[in-house]
Amino acid sequence: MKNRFAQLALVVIAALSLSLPAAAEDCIPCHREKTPAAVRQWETSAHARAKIGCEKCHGSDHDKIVKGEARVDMKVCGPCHQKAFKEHKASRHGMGLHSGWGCTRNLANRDPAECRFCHEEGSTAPLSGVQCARFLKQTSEMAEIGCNYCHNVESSCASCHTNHNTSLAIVRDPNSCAKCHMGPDHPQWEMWQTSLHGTLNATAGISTGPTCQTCHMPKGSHNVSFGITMSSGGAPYPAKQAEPARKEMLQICSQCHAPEFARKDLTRGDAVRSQSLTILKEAEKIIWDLSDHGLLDPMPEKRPEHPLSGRKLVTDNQMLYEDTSHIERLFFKMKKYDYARTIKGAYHQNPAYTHWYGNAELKMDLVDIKAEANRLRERSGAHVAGNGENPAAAAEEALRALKSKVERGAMSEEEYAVEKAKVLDRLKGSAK
Amino acid sequence: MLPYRRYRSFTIASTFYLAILLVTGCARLPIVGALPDGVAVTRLTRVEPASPFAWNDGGTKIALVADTFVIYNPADGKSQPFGAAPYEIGWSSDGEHLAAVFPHGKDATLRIFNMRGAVLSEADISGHVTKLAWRSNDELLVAAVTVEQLSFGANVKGLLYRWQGIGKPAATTLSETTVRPFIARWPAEKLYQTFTFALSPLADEIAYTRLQDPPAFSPYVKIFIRNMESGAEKEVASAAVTSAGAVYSADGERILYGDGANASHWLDPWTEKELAIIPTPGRTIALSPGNRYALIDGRLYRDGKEVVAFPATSEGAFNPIGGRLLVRYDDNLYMISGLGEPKADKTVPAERERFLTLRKWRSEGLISIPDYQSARERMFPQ
Repeated sequence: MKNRFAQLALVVIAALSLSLPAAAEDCIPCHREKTPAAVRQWETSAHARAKIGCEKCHGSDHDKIVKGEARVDMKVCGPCHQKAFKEHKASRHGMGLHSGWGCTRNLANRDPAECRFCHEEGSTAPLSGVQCARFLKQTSEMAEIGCNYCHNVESSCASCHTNHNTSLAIVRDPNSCAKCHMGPDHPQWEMWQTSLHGTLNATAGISTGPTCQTCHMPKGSHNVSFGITMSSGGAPYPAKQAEPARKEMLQICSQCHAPEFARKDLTRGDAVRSQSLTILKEAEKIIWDLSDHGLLDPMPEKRPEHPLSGRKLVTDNQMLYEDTSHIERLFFKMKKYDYARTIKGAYHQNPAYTHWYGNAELKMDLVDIKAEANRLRERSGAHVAGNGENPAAAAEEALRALKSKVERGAMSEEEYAVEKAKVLDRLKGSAK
Repeated sequence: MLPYRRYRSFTIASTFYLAILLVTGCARLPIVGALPDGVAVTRLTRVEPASPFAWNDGGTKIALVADTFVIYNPADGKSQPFGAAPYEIGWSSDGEHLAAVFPHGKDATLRIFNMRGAVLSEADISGHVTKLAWRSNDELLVAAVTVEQLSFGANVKGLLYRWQGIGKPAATTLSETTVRPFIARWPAEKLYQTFTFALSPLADEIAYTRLQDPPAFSPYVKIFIRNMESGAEKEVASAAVTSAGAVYSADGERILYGDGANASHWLDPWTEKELAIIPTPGRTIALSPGNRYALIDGRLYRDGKEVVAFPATSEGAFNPIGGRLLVRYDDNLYMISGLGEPKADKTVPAERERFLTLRKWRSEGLISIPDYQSARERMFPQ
């Protein structure tokens, strides 16, 4: 009887030892030596206090961990942090900001490990629906550092929270936003720092000077799209989407300001955005007109393919700053840097960014673009004159311009048919 | 069980076929049906089974593989040796050069010979060559297929090389498909067959096949036409993977393609209007230069009607100046002579350039199909 009881006790102990996860202590002795900072951070974290050990997040396959194949992404954090996970997924941060789409497998010199940028292991289905031509133009290494260090925010909590810390002090500091929200294309951190909000924050503290989180993550929400009325590229949302968002933002502003004051300030921002968009569209029209007449240098069909659109002119959010013409490169700066700085500067109440870094640059860009367009047209004068000896080449140029115009809605089908017939008639006449 | 009437027809045809074999001997080309008056069959020479053969543009010499690579003169039966055996060959239109493809591991070596058998140019390319054609006397087009085996299937890529005989051939990927594992296990030849092309008689367009492998459906090929100057393409038809693809009519305005399963179709690829159907799947297709004759799956058609049938596994090539047809069956090459055909019209060079311009514009959508037709009629009244 005694013997049977001992046997049963052994079985229970063995089963328990197999079913319980390895305690953090199993990893700690070795990792205190190998990765001491990670251990120190974990030891002072809320995870340690809640007895959430290494294996809970990292799994138990050490080989996989060493190979970097057991990354702790949002799927690991989500089940425990469900509210934050849901808010994040509903926000701009969670909506496919993961860069990429478009398989890089057949591009030259690719690192096979970069499949994980877009795919789960063994799956051909893309993780994200977002397309990014600029990502697809990068080398593996540049894509990893220059794109994914920010654009992994879709699936990585650690992108803001860091890997082993759980201190909210880190993520409540605007510096944690600065990793991505700075620089020439969207310097929100610099704008905030040098605005009255930032100055008050630095001098009088958070009770007087709001941070990024105060307005964009109210009450600790992970929905960073709260109160935003335009796309990340600065295209205004339709009224149906913008109006409720504006009300949300006004509620935030009204915690410190009179509602009317806040409304007027944001309305001024809307006006700056609309005026800036008009300048931008004028420049964009010049470029399309040059393209219609085959005057871009080089034309899209004579340069490397755009990763998403092929040999076509692209001036939307997928435009490139490389393998393009000089005038398009000017437009890239105008749109991605100067337009963004003007309108984001206005909404962040920063005078210098709105005017000198933004509006002034935007208007000077238009001067440059017009001058470059004139240069291209003047140069083509000689080219067109040369085509006088080659009626077919002149006719082709005319047909191409007509087709381009009708395709982008700058000419009706009826006008197109009439103009096309004229070109073909001229060609027939020239053959006599 | 076959129904009795079908069984009887089958028995009669088989007996007839066997009788012909017995009477004519194995070195004769088996023929079902009576040859038209004035048409004769001559056995020319022994060739390697499944080896390439090609007429020169003047229709006076044949490049073929009989043990080795030779140029055969059908007038006197003499052969000029050219060396090792290639697996694809093609004459330049001036008849001065001969391009040939040789295996090079998984890849291929292109060589251009002069008529004395000297190698003028040589280049290595990736993949197995499925077709070559001279676009002009200075430019060679070569279709090649690469197959990369992956853990979840295979990547099958169709490359079109353009080579002026100098430097490295320039490759354009025309077809790329990641296929499922069961297709990845197909014999290599079957995968290679999924990418081939035909050059239009005006040398400005190709009609090529592109493998498709949609989930939950059988794989098939799409047929595209591509303008070589503009690079513009149009999808015009689809077919089973056993299709021979398409060939162009003499005027370059229509294509004849096999659907690989039931019939061959004459199609206007621009209006997508089907012009005629020939009831044979089109797994091998050859057209005579004036389009009066077609050899499809071993069946010889004249003006759309079947005249005689050779074995379905035989392959043919019409003499570029008309009147004669080469048929390779097993390891013998035969010549069918006495095929009367009006000579194809050849446009004068100035008109040709303007015509090509119109075709290029049509391919790019710069002019519509009615624009093209009316401009063509006005510029080149019949």
